[in-house]
Amino acid sequence: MSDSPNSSDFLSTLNKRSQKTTVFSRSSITQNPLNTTKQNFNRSSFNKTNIKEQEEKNEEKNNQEPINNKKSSLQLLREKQEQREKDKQLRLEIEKKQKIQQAKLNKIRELILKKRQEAKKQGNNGNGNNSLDQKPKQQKENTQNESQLNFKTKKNLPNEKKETPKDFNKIYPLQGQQKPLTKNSNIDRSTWKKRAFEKHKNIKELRECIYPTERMESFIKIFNPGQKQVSENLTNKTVTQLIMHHLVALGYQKIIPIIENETQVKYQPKYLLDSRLHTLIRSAVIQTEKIWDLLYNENFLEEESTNQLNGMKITRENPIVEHFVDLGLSQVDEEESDEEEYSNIWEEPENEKYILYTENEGTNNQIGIKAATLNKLIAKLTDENSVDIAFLKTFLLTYQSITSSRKVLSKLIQRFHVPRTKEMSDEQYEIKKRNVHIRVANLLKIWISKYLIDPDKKFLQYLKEFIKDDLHQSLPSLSELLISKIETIEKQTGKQKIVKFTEKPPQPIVPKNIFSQTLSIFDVNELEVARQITLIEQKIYSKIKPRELLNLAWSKAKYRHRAQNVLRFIQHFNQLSGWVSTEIIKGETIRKRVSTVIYFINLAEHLRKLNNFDSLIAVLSGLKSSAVYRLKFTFQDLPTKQTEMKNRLDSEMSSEQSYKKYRGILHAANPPCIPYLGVYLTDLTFIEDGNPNKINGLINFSKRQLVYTVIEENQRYQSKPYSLQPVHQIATRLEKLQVTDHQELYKKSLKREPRKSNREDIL
Amino acid sequence: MTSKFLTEVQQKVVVLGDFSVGKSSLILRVSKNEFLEEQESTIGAAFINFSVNVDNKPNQIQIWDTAGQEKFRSLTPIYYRGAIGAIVVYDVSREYSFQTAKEWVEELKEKANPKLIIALCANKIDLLEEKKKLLKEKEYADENGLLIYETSAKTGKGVTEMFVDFSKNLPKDQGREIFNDDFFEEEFFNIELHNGEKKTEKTICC
Repeated sequence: MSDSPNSSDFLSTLNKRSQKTTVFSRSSITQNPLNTTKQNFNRSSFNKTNIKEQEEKNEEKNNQEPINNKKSSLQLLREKQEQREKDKQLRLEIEKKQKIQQAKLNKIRELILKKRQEAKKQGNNGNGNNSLDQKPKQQKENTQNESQLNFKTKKNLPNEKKETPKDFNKIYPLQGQQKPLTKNSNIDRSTWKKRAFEKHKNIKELRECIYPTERMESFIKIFNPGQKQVSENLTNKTVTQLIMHHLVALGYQKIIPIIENETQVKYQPKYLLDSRLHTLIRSAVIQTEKIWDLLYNENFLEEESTNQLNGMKITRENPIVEHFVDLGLSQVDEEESDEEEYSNIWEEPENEKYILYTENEGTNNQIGIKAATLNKLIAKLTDENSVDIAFLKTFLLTYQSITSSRKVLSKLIQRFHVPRTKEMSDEQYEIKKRNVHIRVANLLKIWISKYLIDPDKKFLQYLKEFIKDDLHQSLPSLSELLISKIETIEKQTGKQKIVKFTEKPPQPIVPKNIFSQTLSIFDVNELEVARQITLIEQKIYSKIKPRELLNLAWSKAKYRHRAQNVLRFIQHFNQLSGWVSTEIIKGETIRKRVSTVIYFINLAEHLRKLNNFDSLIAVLSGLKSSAVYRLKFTFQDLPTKQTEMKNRLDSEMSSEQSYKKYRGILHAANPPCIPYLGVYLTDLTFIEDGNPNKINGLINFSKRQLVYTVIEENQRYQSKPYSLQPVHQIATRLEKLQVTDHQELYKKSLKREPRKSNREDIL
Repeated sequence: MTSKFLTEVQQKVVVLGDFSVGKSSLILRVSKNEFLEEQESTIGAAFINFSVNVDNKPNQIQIWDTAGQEKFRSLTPIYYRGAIGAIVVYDVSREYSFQTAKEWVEELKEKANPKLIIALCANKIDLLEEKKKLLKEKEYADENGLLIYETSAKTGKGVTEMFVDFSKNLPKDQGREIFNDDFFEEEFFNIELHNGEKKTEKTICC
């Protein structure tokens, strides 16, 4: 709007526009009000453009005279400015007028209502349609008068319509218009919100917190969910009911029977609509898994890692997730545990309906359970006669894919309260009770000290109560030990364990300019860079919790918040590999690129020696990215030594036959190691998708054993730290590697060595 | 990579697609011909060998799946490099996964082997309401010269057929230089489809 096209063009567009706008305004007035909701709903989506058009129209009308006199564009601008100033003054007056008019309109509204009610009382059978036909006419007159006065008073239109049944449908779509239309039409404020939000992110965030629905809306706009689902559910009837609901909420009770009469839609009490709204939102949420994706996208991870850098570990649950859970819209933790109501642990008989053993009998105390109910699993875990540590570990590592911590605890409590049967003597009962108590306490001990990761406060409270109230009576000393352990967990959350090395770390190799501001990674010896990368990777890798690897959490949008460290680890992998490609493409001449490639191949070799397979594969994949791989002249000029090195590493880390060679190398390697996580993720995916969760309705425990073997292997590598000394100057540079987008890189790569070019043509 | 011995034609086919579109289930289905049935399975690897007789000559293909590694974006070019066929899977019940599939197709067309045969696999058709026709998708496949298959890993519909038909569409003289070393060592699955006859062998490695 601010640009000034040459006058003749401007004129012609103006004419077109004004035609358009007249059509628009006419149609909005004469639109058949009996066309119900759907049309209006469709229209609502275009409201914004309509508003803009109208604004434009307004502005143009103001300027129409000067344009007719064929004034220059500069003059036009000046006049525009003058007009704006005038408008400012006008606005105040207008506002006053509006208030007066509002009051008038309110009176009219009441009158209309009264009349209508009277009409209803008098002759009920009289066609509502007739009386209705008259009212819009009245209205039309009103609106025309208004627009003669000043078109800005159109603001009042929707308000006025609110009470007239024919147009009640328009309330929703038109409401959106209210705000923009109150604006001074000469100042383009249509995007002020957007601009303000761009400048002040914190305001935007705050606003989004306050208006969760608005946030939903913007999510949905971005990721356009399958509209079919929504439109199928959003029938005219539903919308009408929602509108009635809204009117009632605003206190307009009297209008309801009129609407009901006219639309043949019954008003239903609030809770029914609530549930319908819930269903709608729920289906939208389920359909739009992308919403969750957005919540846990990389930015979200980034944010947390910066918080960690400042020394404050903030583990905050996402407010939206909490909100959804509160509304009962989130199914995050309900899935399997609520499928069935478990009966009492002491009442389940021991037969194949409840427990299936593996065919080859377990050796050495091993209870080979193929599948069982949760009751049976807990009973076997706390069996008075046999102890199977492997079984215990498997269960504690994987139970979160079966049920919740709280459910396990409540089962343990049930198990703790040993019932007395008639046949039991006092002595027998005491012995049995004591044995079970000891086993329960032992399980709790292992659980609390090793496998209780990130417990929520309520759960800990629940656990402490049980220990203090029940367990303490029979096993006082053990109970106190457990309580103190829980208390240290409570204090420790967020604190890092201090690792003591048995070996002395090697002396870091630092360049002379280590304290220089302009220190580049390439000034540093490859070995030292490999060490620092390894330290950074190790830091993230060691944080990955078993729970993140259960239920394919990293790949399912709704569980993804559980797998933050896995995602961060992958993000780091991609960053490292992207950086390798970026740095190679940066080199403008073949010589430069060759030297960068040599550097990275040496780096890869050092990473291999450090057993940092994850970073090794990242660097190798950076060397093989689409942008780099095609630089044939660069690779031709590589020294034989590096070429051989690269070929060997490539073949060792090859993904062929599901990383067969790599698996062999990893298993033969001496820890510390950082394995390539992707292999575990694929294995887990196949275990998860290839095995049923239940066998004959029983928990498929053998599946969990498969999952356990993967997680346990991973844990073994996590537990052994590298004995290396961090070098702050290098580490900070490695933490913020510059990465160019891969599309951009590919374009650049085509410039560096164009397709079908000759060696001589290239620098 | 150095070639140790030449084998019968070994061809690499990659399976690509968004998270949870059912890639691994397709592989599992074709390798076991069963889907989440009550049988213990010890699958830990993500590839199968597949042999189809075309004109009385065995055509060996190896199917690579990277299910679970979708987020390792920088690795994906390596997976499809050297492949002569790619099956891009999407989930018909999730509109978004089709968008991702399109992105895949575009990337493959731009950066992969120009002779790459690409198939679009519309998976989970069991979830599709009353035979809604995949017009948009078919049109897209036509425009881009893709093969298109409709499958359901859950019911098994169209899965084996897809792999057989797809391998018949692959050029027979390619892929030799890609697969060479250690090919006949232990294999996880070995499915042989000789004109309809099927054998399944399972050995455990790793």
